[in-house]
Amino acid sequence: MARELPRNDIPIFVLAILESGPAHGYAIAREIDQRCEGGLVLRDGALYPALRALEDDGLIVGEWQPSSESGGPPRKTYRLTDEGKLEASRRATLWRSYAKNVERILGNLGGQGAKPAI
Amino acid sequence: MQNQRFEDDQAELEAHFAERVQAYLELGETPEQAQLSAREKFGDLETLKRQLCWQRMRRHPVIIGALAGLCWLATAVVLHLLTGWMVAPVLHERQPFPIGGTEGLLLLMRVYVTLAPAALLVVWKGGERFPRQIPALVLGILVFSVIPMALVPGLEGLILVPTLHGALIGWRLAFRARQEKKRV
Repeated sequence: MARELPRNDIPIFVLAILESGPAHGYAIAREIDQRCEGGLVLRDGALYPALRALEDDGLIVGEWQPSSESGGPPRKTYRLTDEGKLEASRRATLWRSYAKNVERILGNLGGQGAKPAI
Repeated sequence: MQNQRFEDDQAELEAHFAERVQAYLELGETPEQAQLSAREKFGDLETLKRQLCWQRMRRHPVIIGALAGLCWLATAVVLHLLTGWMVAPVLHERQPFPIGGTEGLLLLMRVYVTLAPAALLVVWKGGERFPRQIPALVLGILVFSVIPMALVPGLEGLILVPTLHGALIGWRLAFRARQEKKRV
C-alpha cells in the first residue's frame, strides 16, 4: 500500500538525490518515484517548499539554465553546496540510526515469526 | 525583489507542470486526461504559490517582528485613545483607586492589548513555545496595564514598550522556528 511522503521527510530525500548530481525539480521528483518504486507517493508540489528551505539554509543552490531542448523553457537546476554535502551525510547517518532503532522496536511484529498478542 | 522571486517560482512550477503533462502524454493519455493526471500528481498550483509566499515571509524574522510590532502599535494606539476618552470623566472626579467600573474596563483593555498579539503568535507558531515567553509577557502586562499612564504626565511614551515587546516575541519565535528547521 503506497503511503504519501510526509513533508518533513522530503528535504533528506532531496539531498540524497542531489548527492548524485545536479537536477531540476521535475527530475528530482521523478528520481524519488523511481527509487522508491511507487512505495511512497510524492506530490510534486510538496517538493518546492523543501527546495526553498534548503536553498535558504545554504545547503543547495539553484541556477537558471537554458533548456537542453531547442525552444524549451529555461530550467532551475539545483546542486549541493559544500555545506549541503556535509549536512546530507549527517542527516543520512541520523536517518539510518533512526530506521535501525525502529526496526529493533518493531521486532517480529507483523513478520513471519510474529506471535499473537494473547 | 519579492516580485522577481514570485515570477521565478511561477516559471519553475509551470515548467515542472508542463513536463509532468508531457510525461503522461507519452504514456498514451489524451491531452485532457494528461492535464487531470498531472494536476492530481502535482497538487493545486495556486495553493502552492501562496504557500511559497508565506514561507518566504516566515523565514524573515525582521519582517515578522516589524509586522507584529506594527499590528501591536496600531491596536494599542486605538485602544489607548479610546480608553483615555472613556476614563476622562472618572479622572475628573478624582476617583482614588483605579479598579472597578470604567477603570476596570480600561485595565482589561490594556491587558487585552498586551495579550492579543502574543496569543496570535502562539496560535500561529505553536503552543509549546508559550511558556518560554511568560517573563517577557508579564513584564509587558505590568508596564502597560498596571501603570496608570493617564495620571502620570510623560509616561504615555511607555506605549512603545509593549510594541517593542511584540516585535521581540515575533522575532524570537521566527528565529527559533528557523533554528528548529535547521536541526531537522
